[in-house]
Amino acid sequence: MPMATAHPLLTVPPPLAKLFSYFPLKTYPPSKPAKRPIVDPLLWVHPPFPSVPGKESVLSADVECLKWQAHIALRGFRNVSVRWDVSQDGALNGRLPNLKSPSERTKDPDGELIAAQDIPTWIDEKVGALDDLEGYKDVHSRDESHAWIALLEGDVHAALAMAQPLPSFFYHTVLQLPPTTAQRPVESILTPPPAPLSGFASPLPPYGARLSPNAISARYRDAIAALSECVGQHEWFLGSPGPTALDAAAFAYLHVLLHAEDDLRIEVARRVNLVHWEQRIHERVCAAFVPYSASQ
Amino acid sequence: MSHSTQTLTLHIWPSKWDLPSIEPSCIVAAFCLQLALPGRFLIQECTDPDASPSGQLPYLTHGHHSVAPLSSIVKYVAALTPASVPPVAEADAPEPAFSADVDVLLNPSERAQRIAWIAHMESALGDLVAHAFYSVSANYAAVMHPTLSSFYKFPQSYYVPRRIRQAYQARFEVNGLWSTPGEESEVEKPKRFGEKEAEKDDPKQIFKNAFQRERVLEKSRAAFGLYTRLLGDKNFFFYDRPTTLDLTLASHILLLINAPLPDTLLSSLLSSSYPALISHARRVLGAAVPSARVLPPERYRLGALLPYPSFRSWWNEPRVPKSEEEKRFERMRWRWIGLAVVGSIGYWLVWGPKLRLVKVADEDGDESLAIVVGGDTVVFGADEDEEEEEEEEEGDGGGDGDGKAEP
Repeated sequence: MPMATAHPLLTVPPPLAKLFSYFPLKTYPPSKPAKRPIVDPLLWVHPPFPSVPGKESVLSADVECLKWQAHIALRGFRNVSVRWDVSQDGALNGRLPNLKSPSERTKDPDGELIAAQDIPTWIDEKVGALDDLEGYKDVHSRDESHAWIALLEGDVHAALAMAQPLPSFFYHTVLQLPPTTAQRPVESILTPPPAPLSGFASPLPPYGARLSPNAISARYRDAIAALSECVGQHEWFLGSPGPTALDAAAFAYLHVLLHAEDDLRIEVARRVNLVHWEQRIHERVCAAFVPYSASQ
Repeated sequence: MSHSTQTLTLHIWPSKWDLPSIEPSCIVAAFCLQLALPGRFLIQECTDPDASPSGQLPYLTHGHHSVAPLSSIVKYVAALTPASVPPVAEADAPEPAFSADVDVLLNPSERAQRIAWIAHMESALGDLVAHAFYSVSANYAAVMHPTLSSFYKFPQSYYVPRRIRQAYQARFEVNGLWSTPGEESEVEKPKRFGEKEAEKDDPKQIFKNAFQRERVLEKSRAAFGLYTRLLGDKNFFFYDRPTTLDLTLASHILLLINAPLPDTLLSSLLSSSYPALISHARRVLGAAVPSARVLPPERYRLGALLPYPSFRSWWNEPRVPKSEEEKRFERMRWRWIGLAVVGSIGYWLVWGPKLRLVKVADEDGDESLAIVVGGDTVVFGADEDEEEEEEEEEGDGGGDGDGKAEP
């Protein structure tokens, strides 16, 4: 009894098979990227400001990332690698910075990725936690630091957000591309929040935000004047014996403002003590970071 | 409305709950003017924030100036002198303060601290007050929505309160204080006969609400603790005299304790753990409660529905009386325009071409209209070929007379 042979129900027509023969399909073995074990902390940040070749900066142009860079540097860390080729979409919670640290618990060669809000805990584990005064000279100074940080993250940040260029209509509306910067909208920074451009009382659906550039600029100038008065001729803000979180935040904002548009930059440049203070801290913060290189 | 062009008029949300207004910035502005220029300003209760230069209340009008927001109002008032602002009524004008600057006694370092602390209070306390008023559903439904709706008539009473609430949503979603998920938008199905009501308690929502209340409590304790330590056992923050820092703190605390909110989370926390802040707030209220005359509320105008505040403000701004030269110039301008129109019409009548409508009959007897310009004939509705034939016939001097115009 002859054995039945399997014939496929569907076969490729011969002309088509001949056409396909001109485009052979080759399957290559899977390529696995070479993984370098993480031995030093690696910080993911937004790219730095453009600079001349040979003088690339390691400090991020984003104020949120720069705050953490300054905080890590002022707590005494050295040789921290920094890379800015990672999109914020790949970061934890979709926000940079993230810190990739060698994992001592799991011994994972890839290390562990830490979100921004957990970086202070990591720092305390490495160098020891601060005392109750958090580095300030007394309780009153520690309490006052909250006010200064609120001023930086309120009035100063609002002026910085206002100065950001608006996203291109073509890229944002037509092509639906995500924004390149991670800035919060001004409406979420101001308090009370601005009224809609169409007004509260009109029957039109609310759209836009009615911002008052003059009022925001006036508050920004007052804030910079107050910061200059606060730092005076002290080495650290509020006369603290050493660097604190307020110094890290103040440096981040001053550094970004000195690279901002003319109106913002000039207001800071008028205060000589602020410029000198920023330059001194700039050297210290830059010395703590090295650019990440895949060949290392 | 101002009694005179030089009277200071402060436009704020209407008073409620034994307070000058329902919004912290408005209360601070009223307190500030009372301390700086007592008896020299009027209060106008206003429910149209679109009339403000900043789109928000309060705003201050002084002659032709309109000043907003609060920080600009405080600076503007500080630059005035009591002598430059006449009292509203001589009879009830108390002795003017020695300076219109409420913070005149502060040195530069204290002024810098004041700026920082005000920024912290406006951010932290402002979020807490707005969360209690607009984010907590029970408070908004029971107190804020009826209060705001009572300020407006149809149709604004339906959508203005909701828009004011939505203005806070962007900020609260970033801060994690927005506590109104989508359950309010669910449509409730009618209950059938005999059907028991489905339990609406969602364990996830319960945990979420509890977690958020803890977060609010944590933020509140952090903020209230800072201000309590800053105040210490003093009556006011600086020099035993209220400054803008005291006014800012007191305005927020007074709203939290005076407003009859069903959810008493923050007022209970203040009463139980931070009585010093309540005492301070009442002290400031006693020292700075406005004694200014409150003008009658502005009448509701349909013009408030116009979406362009700049157009409305231009339409409503008081017209400055014109000088004799301006009136003469305007008269000459209108005369020139009239002369140009009359001259054009006269020229057309006298020298312009005369147009007549005539009927033209063709070979088939069909009539069509023709426009006669002067002595020429223009046939309207005839074919181009017929026109060319007529032109050729006219050129040859012959023709059978077809297409002649008939008057």
